[in-house]
Amino acid sequence: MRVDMQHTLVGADVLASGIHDAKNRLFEAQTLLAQAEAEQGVKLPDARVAISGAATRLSRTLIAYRLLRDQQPMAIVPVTVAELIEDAATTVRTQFERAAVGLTVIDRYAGAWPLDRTLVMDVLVNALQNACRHARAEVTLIAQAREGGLCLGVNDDGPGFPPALPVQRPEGQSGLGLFIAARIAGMHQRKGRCGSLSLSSGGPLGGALFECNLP
Amino acid sequence: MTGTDFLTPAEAEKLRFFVVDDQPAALQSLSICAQNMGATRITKAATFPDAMRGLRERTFDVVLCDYMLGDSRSGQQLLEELRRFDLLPDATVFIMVTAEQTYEQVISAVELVPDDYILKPFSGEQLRVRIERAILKKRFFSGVYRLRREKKLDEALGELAALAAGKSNYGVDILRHKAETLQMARRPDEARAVYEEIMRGFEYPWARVGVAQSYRVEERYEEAKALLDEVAQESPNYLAAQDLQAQIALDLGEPEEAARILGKLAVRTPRNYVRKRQLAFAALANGDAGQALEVMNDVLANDSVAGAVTEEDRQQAARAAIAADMPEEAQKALGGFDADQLAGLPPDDRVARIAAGLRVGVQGAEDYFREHRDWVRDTVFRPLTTMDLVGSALKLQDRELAMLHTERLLRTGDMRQIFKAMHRIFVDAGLEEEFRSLQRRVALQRAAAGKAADPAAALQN
Ligand SMILES: Nc1ncnc2c1ncn2[C@@H]1O[C@H](COP(=O)(O)OP(=O)(O)OP(=O)(O)O)[C@@H](O)[C@H]1O
Ligand SMILES: [Mg+2]
Repeated sequence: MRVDMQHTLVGADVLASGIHDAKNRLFEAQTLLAQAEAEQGVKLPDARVAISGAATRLSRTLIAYRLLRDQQPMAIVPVTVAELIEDAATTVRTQFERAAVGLTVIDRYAGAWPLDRTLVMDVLVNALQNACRHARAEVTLIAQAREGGLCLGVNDDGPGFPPALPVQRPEGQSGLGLFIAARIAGMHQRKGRCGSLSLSSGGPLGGALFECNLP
Repeated sequence: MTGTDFLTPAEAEKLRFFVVDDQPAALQSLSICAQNMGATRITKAATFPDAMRGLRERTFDVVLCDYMLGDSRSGQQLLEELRRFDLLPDATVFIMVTAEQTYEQVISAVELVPDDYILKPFSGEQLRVRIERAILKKRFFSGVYRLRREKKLDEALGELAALAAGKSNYGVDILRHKAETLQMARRPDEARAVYEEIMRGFEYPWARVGVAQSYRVEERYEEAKALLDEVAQESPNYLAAQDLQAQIALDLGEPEEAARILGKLAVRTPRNYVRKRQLAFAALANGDAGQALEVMNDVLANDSVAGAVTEEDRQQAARAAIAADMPEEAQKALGGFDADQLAGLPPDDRVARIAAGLRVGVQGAEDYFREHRDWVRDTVFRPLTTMDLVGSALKLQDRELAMLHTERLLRTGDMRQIFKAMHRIFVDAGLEEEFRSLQRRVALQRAAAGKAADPAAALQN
């Protein structure tokens, strides 16, 4: 039998289906791990962080690949803001516990916002992971209305962003996380306005201040 | 924060879970994950038919369904079938599970969405939070659901107004429910205003289609068409926009256009038999009996969920077979003509069977028809049955009866969608002139009575 895959599959599909399969297996690993933890009465947070880190990395890789080829689809649905930030916080909870960094979630927006839930979730998770890596002890995640848009902010008490902001470097040289975050923010459009990222230092906690503004 | 954390392990233990996945390992993981959040009452299903059966036989509190079910079946199809046969109680939470990170594409492209979706991998805690939220939302809207089921639409609107006045995160959902309820109450202008309010936030395709639906009811077809063209262009995956385009084409007496749109959609959704029925109707109205028959045979053979195929479907297949001049096929669909069996049937079913028998040339059918002429004359039938009846009457040279029922259809405006096919019947009987003058007479009377001219008839002139 001659297997001729080239006719039916293109690069993006091969990558996507491989990642799909890998995430299914990570789900198996994660549930078995949780079951074993419960049965044995042990806690294996490092293993959990490794699994969720691998999953995040896989989906971010696929998003970046698609973005670079302008193939990342958008699907805007109304997303309850409080739920979005709660989910982002839950995703990184174990990592924060391991690093002994506190995470405060402040929800100042009641209601839903039109956005792509999967993509914005990746933006937030990356910002939280970054903050956790650089913070001394505290991080806040805050959602609030600003100038007719929604502002999702992550502030930490670390040294702040380096002077040459990675997102301003030419494409490809920056870390993946902020690069795709900027693209994702920009892809959100409403009433003739585009979303944007703002990276600065300061804020109430004095360290890096990441803000994703969605129109 | 968003929940009240009421879904403790003790509470989770009480919930009845139904877990669906075609991959054994994934099915196993999904139920272990439910166990990790405290669930103990878990029923599993590995195939689409098993899932349908399980959910038909028993009631569950939570359905966790993988999006890919194999055998070209999806969780979305399961959800749509469950809704179609009303097998999901209002209080049951349906959560789609998938490792596909572009699943949001699916969500934004379908009319009927699950209560939530969750991307793999996720923890028991993440699952717990999602289920808890979905339950809270169901409870929040439970009064509205109940009142709508009881067809107490004004009260449902009152309940929605009360919910809107309170504080919640469900602003957009409240508006959407309000618009849908107004639509059900046949208050299209108010429904449109609510959809437009939603669109001031964001132009969701479903809201734009909602506006177009209102336009259709208001018979503002040009505006509806212009809007739907835009939606179909910008959101080609939002198929409800194209379904509505097809409906409007039928309203306007353009079955050819409807059949073209539905034919293309049917290729994309080969297992959607509701849409296939629409396609068969459009094909029949367009005079393409061969296609109608082929599609109906597909429906009869493959819409395999118990109770899916109805008497009306068999009649439609027979109707298409007769129009295609294949009487044996008609008999295959409806069975042989048996006067004794007719007595217990509803009027439409009786006449459809008589008509089929007649066209096939069964003597008993002819006798029966003549014997019951008074009843046939004085009963009001569905448009399609009326079409059968008119064809039969003309075959028996009973022109008076044919004219009488045709006039009734013209008068009520029910003729629009099948105008072309009816016209064909009269042409075939050599009575086109009679048909035309009847049509003109009714149009004048309608105009005198201040009724809008039938757009289909206007187009055909
Ligand atoms: N909160 C922060 N405090 C200090 N520096 C930061 C912070 N967030 C990001 N940076 C700097 O910006 C760089 C780019 O971040 P980015 O998220 O794009 O990539 P990464 O985290 O290094 O890799 P990836 O996100 O792909 O895992 C980081 O490597 C770091 O130097
Ligand atoms: Mg990063």
